Amino acid sequence: MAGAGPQRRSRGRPRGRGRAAQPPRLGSPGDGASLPLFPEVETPLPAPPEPRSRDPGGRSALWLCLELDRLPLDAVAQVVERPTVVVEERSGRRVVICCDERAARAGVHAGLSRDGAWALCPDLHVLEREPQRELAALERLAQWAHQYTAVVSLAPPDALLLEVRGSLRLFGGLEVLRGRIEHGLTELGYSARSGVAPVPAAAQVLAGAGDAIPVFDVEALSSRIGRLPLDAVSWSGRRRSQLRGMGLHRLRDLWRLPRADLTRRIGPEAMAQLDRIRGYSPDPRETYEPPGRYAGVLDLGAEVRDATQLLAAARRLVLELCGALRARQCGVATLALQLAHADRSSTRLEVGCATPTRDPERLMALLDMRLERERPIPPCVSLGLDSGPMLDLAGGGRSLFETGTARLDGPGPMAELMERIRVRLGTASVLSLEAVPEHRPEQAWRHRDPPLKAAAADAPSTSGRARPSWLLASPELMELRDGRPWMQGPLVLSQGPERIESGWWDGDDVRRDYYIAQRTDGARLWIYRERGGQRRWFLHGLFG
Amino acid sequence: MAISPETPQGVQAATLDTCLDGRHVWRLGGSRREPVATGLPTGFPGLDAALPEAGWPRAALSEFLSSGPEQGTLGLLLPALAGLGRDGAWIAWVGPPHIPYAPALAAAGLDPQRQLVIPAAGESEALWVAEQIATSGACGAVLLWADPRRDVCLRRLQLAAQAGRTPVFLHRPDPAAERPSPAALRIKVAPGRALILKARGGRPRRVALD
Repeated sequence: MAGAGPQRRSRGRPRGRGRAAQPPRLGSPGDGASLPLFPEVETPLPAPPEPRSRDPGGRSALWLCLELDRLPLDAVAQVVERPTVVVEERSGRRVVICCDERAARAGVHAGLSRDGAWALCPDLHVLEREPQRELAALERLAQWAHQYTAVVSLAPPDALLLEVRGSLRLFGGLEVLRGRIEHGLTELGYSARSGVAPVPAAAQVLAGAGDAIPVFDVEALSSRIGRLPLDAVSWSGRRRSQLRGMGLHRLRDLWRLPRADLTRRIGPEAMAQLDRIRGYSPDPRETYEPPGRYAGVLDLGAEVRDATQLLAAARRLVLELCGALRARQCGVATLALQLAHADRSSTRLEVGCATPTRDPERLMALLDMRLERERPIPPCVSLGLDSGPMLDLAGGGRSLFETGTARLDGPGPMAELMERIRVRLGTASVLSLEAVPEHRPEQAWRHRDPPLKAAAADAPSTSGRARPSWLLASPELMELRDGRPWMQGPLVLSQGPERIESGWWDGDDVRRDYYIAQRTDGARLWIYRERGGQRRWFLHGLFG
Repeated sequence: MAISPETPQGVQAATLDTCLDGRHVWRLGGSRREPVATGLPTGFPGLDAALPEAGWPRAALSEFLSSGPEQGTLGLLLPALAGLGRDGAWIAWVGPPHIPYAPALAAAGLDPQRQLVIPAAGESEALWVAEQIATSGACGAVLLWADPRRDVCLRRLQLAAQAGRTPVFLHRPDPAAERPSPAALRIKVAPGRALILKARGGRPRRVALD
């Protein structure tokens, strides 16, 4: 096997760990001008750099690449039952870049012009490509994929890389894990191909070529990758045709060429890429850090007013959210569905549940109930799903590391209740009261945070004077008739006056005579008259 | 004919008793059964005697209809709330019309610190909060000021009260008396008197207070 040549050589060399890539050595001396296209004889090949089989931690990595081969199409919720294609402008004309099965059955394929596709399939539904939409979908999938491993990396435009070595044991082996991920992606509405290799670039190549057989060992990479056609590497069409013109069809044809010559032909960047694919040079990837909240938007691709179709689209977002929640061992208690309408207005539907959850069925049931109340629904063009804050699932739910014992020091029902109300209405929404020893009625009470521990109730400091159960937030000026306070009739002052003069020291002084007044219907009011100034009458409280 | 408990008739008799005690059947005529004191004592002897459970229903929705907070609905409830408070229970005030005045509550025997005041912004919020609190069973009672227009809201409150075994006291403006309601008790309140419009297992009647 020709491709095994460099392999054997590299194996014979003394091995060092963690060494950086060595600069490519020149294969044969001499200047470039007189260089033959390719040397005829098999000259001693320059020794390639060491394969970097192990990461600094000493544990070999294993990358699972998910290539979303229909991402431009799958990033849109396809609710219309018609052949659908995504087009993009290329050199002045609209070209099909992605089509669904219905369109493919009609003979539409990628690369066809839009008009050509229409000719084949008159009821074609055409969507414009939006790279931003695809990137957003990729990021949401990365959040979702975090439930399977802590190391997820984006490989735009259409791939995700998951480092799965550490997850194999937990999920019961590579095939089980891969099956779960692929099943999950199908549920989310994405079509994907996957590849497994010890280095990320090789995993991408395998996924791109649709080669599902995993490569575990970096030593075996060159020979396995070598079998693949050149198209598996994401190079431009021009470079591919250039190489094909040289009679090179498979990657192993490249392996056999002298490094220096090949570098001159294809450029140092492409050479570096080949080195990364073979595991010869390091290939650090940026790990994706999921944000603290989930917010997803899904274009519907058409105007939708049918609740069932809306829910089917919302389900994709809810499943993504639940994956992201599982990754963080969290749940949500509130959820908002934003319906964007064709006229640029939008409707926000909020749902809240009693306990935080990440059960998609439960969340879907809530959204279903909420949507039920919104009939009729104006036509929608896109859906947004906003998670509330992600909350720890205390005891409940199925978590990875829980062994069936509930948390003992969990918050009591009261704390949970307050938390839930505060999540929905804001922190200042739940208050408790406190009596303050103070003569001025406005200052004889205040709001406070509800004390969760039962404090020793301080003895009520009542002055023995009657106080109304309701205090008006600010005293109301009363109507006067014949110089007497009037409210639905003349008021009878049944008790009073109780003189309150206080607060001259803090500038908020009060000089009032308080009375209990009886209305003609028997209701009792707490009113006062100013002792200075205009001597006006005010209503300050109600005996409820 | 003497019915022994072993006979099928005995079983049926027992079932009938259960039905009557459960207040799901309104008994027309015949001898009035003594009120089974399963309710929350109101603190007003006249009212206790008029209510079928000798007090406020404990796990149900009660409606208080009045033209405003000055009509005395809160005063009607304070003794019962104070009784709950003595057992350390929280009282939730959802969407109160004014500030519940702490000195007055303290004077009525309630601990102001065990009152949970939620000044909800809108009616739907208030109903949501009340439902949550009632379902959780974390509070001794829920006081709610709202006027739910739709029957389904009342039904949900009633179910929440049942589920959390928490009395829900809904305060509504009195025109709502015209509309039917699933509440276990509906009472119209004016200063010094109350009119029981509906009481599960009892009859409408007028009660003079104090």
